[in-house]
Amino acid sequence: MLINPKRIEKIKEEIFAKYPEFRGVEPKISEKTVKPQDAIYAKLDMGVPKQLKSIYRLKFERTVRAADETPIDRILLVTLDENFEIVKIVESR
Amino acid sequence: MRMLILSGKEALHERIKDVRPIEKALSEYIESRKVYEPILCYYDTPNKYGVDPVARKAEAIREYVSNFEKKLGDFDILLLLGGDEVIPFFRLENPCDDADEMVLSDNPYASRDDNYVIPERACARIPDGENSDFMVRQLNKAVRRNGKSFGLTAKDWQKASENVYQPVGAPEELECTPPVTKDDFKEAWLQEKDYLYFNVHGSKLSANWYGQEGAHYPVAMGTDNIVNSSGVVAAESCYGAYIIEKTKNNAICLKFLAERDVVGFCGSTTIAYGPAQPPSSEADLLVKYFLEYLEQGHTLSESLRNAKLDFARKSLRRHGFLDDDDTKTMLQFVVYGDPTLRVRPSQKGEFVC
Repeated sequence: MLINPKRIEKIKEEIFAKYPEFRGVEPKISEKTVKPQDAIYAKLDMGVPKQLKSIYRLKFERTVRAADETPIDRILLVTLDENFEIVKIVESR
Repeated sequence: MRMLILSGKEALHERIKDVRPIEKALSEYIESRKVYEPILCYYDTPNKYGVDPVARKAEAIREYVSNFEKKLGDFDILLLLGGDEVIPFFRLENPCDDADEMVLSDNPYASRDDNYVIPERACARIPDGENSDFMVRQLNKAVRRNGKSFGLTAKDWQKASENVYQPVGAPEELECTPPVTKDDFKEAWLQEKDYLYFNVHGSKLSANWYGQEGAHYPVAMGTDNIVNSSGVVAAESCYGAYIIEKTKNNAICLKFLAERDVVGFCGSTTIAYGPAQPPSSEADLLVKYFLEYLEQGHTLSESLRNAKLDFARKSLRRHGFLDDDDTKTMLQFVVYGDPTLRVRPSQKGEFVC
């Protein structure tokens, strides 16, 4: 399912407000279907795995220069659930 | 608890020339850790157990460990003796869409089945540092308890870092960069401590770590800031544990390990991820669990393995699955140092055994 462009713009606004160093960066958008991870659940002695899920990922990426001119790849990943709600935001260390 | 100590004789000789000091130190190490029934084996030479030697390839060495277990039963602890040139890291497909072509990992060595995201064995590596003294030093280290910790975080991640640091130190005592920079970094911060925690930027190209406030990335520290340091280091920085073609002069992790009183280093071999705010996830969550297990009296290697298991459980409960960056986090974190050392005594009151 495609993400509504208005929803993408809303997320971008939110990201640019919270992480101004990514302002103006156009995110790469991807969709992924996550299959049940039965083997992982089994190895951890956990119960029945969840069903197949779709997630969406917005990746903002840019290269910055540190004070000593070393290039650092900055990546910010926004994960959305099937309802296009943000479930997680992480950035490269 | 049984321990297998694994190395490659030919590769080790190529790296450090004279292996006799290592073998002497290993002999004393094995004697002092009898409770683990340690067995030393070189994957490239014949042995009395009838396990055939193998080539210096990660898959073959993993198979060698498996064949050893078939002959002698399971080992709980695996010590990899040497850097990538002696016992190669696994080059695993990178689940994330980032600049890392592969993820350097020891997880497959720690796992008995093909589902190596979840480790069973407690595994640690002692890098060779191209120097026998460096390796001998790792085998002879002992924990000196100081009851104090130090933490350094990028300013922008202060709240997230406070949540990670809380098991071992007072969050309000975390130093932030900026304002801290390499030039005003106090060597004493790293001295007489039990834990050294870092949540800063790192680069494969640089010997420095970096802070962040908005678009400003100051140099937070470098190898020359590390003088008479002590404790266990837990670092979230990208490439914090990257050691290929590195020395103690251009890799902070090797510089820390070269210190007499730094007993271990836990970090990432590749680009790591974490949140700017709590709740902890990715590298933040893994390191938080690692510190918690150390504080409970588990060994270095047990603490990383247990942290990975708890990290996976937590992620599955939160989202129902491990996503790409969860998986990468599980694979990329390694621990360097003597796997049997503890910061706090075990429930039996033991520090080493």
